[in-house]
Amino acid sequence: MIFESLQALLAPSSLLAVFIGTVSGVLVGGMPGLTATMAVALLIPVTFVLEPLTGLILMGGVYCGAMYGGSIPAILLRTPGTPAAVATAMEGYPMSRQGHGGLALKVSVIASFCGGVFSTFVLLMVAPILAIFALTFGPPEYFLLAILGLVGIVSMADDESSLVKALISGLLGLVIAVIGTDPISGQLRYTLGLTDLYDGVSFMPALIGMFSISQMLDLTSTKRIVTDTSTLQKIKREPFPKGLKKFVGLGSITGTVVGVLPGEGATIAAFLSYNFARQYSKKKHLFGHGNPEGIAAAESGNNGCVGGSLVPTLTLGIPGNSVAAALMGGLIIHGLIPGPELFSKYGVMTYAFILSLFLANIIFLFIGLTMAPYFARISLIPTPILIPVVCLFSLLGSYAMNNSILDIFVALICGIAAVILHRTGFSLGALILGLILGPIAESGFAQALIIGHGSYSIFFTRPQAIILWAIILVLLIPPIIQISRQSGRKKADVERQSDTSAE
Amino acid sequence: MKKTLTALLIALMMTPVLAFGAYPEKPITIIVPSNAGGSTDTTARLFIKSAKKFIPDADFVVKNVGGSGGQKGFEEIARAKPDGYTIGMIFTTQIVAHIVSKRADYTLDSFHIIGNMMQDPLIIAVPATSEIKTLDDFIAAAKAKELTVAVNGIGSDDFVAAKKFENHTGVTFNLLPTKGSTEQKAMILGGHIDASFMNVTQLHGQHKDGTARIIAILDDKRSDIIPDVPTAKELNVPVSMTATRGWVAPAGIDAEVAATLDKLVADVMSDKEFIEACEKDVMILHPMSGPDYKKYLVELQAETQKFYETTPW
Amino acid sequence: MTRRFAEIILLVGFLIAAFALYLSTAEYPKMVQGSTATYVRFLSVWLGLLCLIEMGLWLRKRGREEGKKLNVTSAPFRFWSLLILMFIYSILLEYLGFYIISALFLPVAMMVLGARNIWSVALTSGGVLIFVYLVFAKLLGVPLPQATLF
Repeated sequence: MIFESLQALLAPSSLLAVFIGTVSGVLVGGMPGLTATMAVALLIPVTFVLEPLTGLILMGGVYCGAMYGGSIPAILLRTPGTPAAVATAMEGYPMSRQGHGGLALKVSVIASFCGGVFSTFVLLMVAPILAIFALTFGPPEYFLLAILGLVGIVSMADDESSLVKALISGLLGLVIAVIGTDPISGQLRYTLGLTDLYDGVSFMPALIGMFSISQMLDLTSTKRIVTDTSTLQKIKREPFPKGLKKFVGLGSITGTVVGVLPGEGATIAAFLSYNFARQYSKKKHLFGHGNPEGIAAAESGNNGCVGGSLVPTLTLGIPGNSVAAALMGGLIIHGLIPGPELFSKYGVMTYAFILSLFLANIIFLFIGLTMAPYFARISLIPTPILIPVVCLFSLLGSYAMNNSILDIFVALICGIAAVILHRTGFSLGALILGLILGPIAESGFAQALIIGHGSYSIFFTRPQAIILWAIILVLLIPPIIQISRQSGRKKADVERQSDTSAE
Repeated sequence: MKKTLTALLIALMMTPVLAFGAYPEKPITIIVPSNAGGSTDTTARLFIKSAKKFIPDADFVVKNVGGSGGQKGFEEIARAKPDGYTIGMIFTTQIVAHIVSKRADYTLDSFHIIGNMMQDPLIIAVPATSEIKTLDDFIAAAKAKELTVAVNGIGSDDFVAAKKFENHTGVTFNLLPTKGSTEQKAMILGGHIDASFMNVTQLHGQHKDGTARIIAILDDKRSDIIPDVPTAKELNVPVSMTATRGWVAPAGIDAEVAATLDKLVADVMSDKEFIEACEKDVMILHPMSGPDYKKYLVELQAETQKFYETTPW
Repeated sequence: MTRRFAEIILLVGFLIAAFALYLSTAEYPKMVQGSTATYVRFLSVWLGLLCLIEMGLWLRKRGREEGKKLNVTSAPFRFWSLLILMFIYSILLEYLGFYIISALFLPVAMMVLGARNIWSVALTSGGVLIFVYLVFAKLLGVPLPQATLF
């Protein structure tokens, strides 16, 4: 069957579809506010004119391309094209400022490629087994997964700001995430009567505000993004950093596993891999100041999500995230109902689709590597021209996510708030983490208590939950020991440091 | 190859054709009150494809206004200029649920109801490994202990169905609101809950694969998709509930334009290609004319009101 | 304003917010008092506690850090003009529609930020608008804000 699939994939129309899909995916992913979900939904009626396989391949290409594309503006302009690229921005943008933008782009595309290929391989080989694993996750496990992500706040603390401030920032994020409809009672909370807030503060506009707009405001005092232009001449010859392999591997596995869980997105996958890398790295002090290890982990994490999210989509009909949901709509429209039949009766098409994802990864790898030096020049554009353009796309992107004017103001307010919070030493990374994980934490917590008929023991009795607790402890203990040791040793230094390190 | 190119051309050339005089002379915006890629969104996009056959000059733009259970989208339709260039989709029970919970800025009178298109009857599903095999088992189990039953949020069609079921049989469920059918599916397949009320199109595949079991359909007759599943009525539990998906325009729309739109929807509903596409996508066509659909909505609103008074949300 | 002073204002603000949040959970319906209300109370208690701890730390080291100015930006004119321009842009977007207001915003913002080459300003502005028209409006069918004024 695989042979027939390969044949179907090598037909000129399929190859063209992979190419067009991937290229447009990179473009869509690179524009803040345009999402892969949007593009896939747009393609659904178009695929009707096409052979089902061609249509599917087109969508798969868009999905893969978009996941990578988001990292390009994240690295160059600190404007994440997709929410999943935020962690990439945290390491990639400082590299751009130091004149290593081209290198950061290369690391990101190679990591994306590895994550994508790994997860597609997993999808091809062990999809049914993984799907069963995904189903064992219930509300209590989702709550613990959110806690696992929040533990990252502690590891973010030891450099930029004090632990207490990072925790306050994280809690602020969680509190902001409470705004909107109560997940259990359906009651409205703190929405000020604004319909646009019924679903909570939109995540993407808030992100655009905190990362992109605040950064553009900051840049008004400089002539160029790149502060150190001396390294620019050697973009092409810059040696590739060593020892990134384990971080790519770490990210790929984390991304795939998180992707398999229905409802969990690439954003969480990227952040979790990033946090793991931060824990595991020998160069911890470089994190937040342009560490390629962080990019490697985050990008392989979010692209690892692609194959992972298709596992429950194809085998069980439970889409792993919103893009996968739109893709499933495209499958169903051709009469392909997800389930075992997809791998037997329609096997040729399904396997051809999976194989096309490999091809899509190769295409964006090629695009990324050849274009990196050219993309990197974007950060050389003088700021008086660059800032208004980036601001325009940021505002437009905030609007386009939900067609909401209010979201533009959300972005603006978050932008100015981010400037102030950053200057006073609060951690934006922690705030974002709280904002992303808040809804999962809250509904997981509340649903688990309903299922457990009000008893908290449900968080401690299930085997998966116990494993998650163990991982949480493993992640939590080292940074706490480190922080307490540090504060004991250089009590006096810490205060001086916290002021100078705030850029 | 050729097909790919045609498709690309279609995608690229969505340029409005300027024709003066007759409606429509500019693109018609279709407000879809849910996110891109969902089943309501797919319906709208399928509709556009067929509609272009009947009014070749017409151009359509889909505007997804998702979230808040469709309320944002419904409000936007109601607020739009009634010039026939903004129409939209609605779905039940959410459209009336927002009215009874006094959250909505619209009433049913804010709309010119064009007609209904689809329906999606409710079902009761249990995990494949569950001891519960029939509806009788289910009721007996629910009487023995409080079963955990997932619904898609408070005020949704699932919720109303579950409440109706409680009223008729005298059982009480431990209701678990979720974020949507994806979550419900995952919980049923993973066996985290005892049962779930959901729509037939959301779970028929899993039922056929044997990964979940549908024990009853809450409709007047059995469904063609899953003919082996008995209706609740057959089993002496006269509870029926369905979700509908139809078309509206803002109220106060010009009579002539309204007539054009009514006819367009009716035409599309009888278009062979559209029907075929819907069958493939397992959407259950359920044509209702404007006045009939309005009557249905008014009755549904009264019924929902009753549940709101006993358990407000 | 010194940096420490700005910090204390923020902390007091967060503390008040945490307190208000805690009180508001009493109004949650009874069915969620054990679930989501508990969650929100947990958040507000910790937020409040941490704010108090941070304030305590602030009091302890206050003596050593006086006089450090809060430096929001080193280019105040550009910073604030850009921010104000963006607010004006967002407000007028609904009335003038995307294309008109963007065609005004881009060149004005570029000039304010110090661009002096008329050609690069005009070409970039025009290029961006054409790009948006082609990619957003035509290719992807994203509905851009339309003018409601006329």
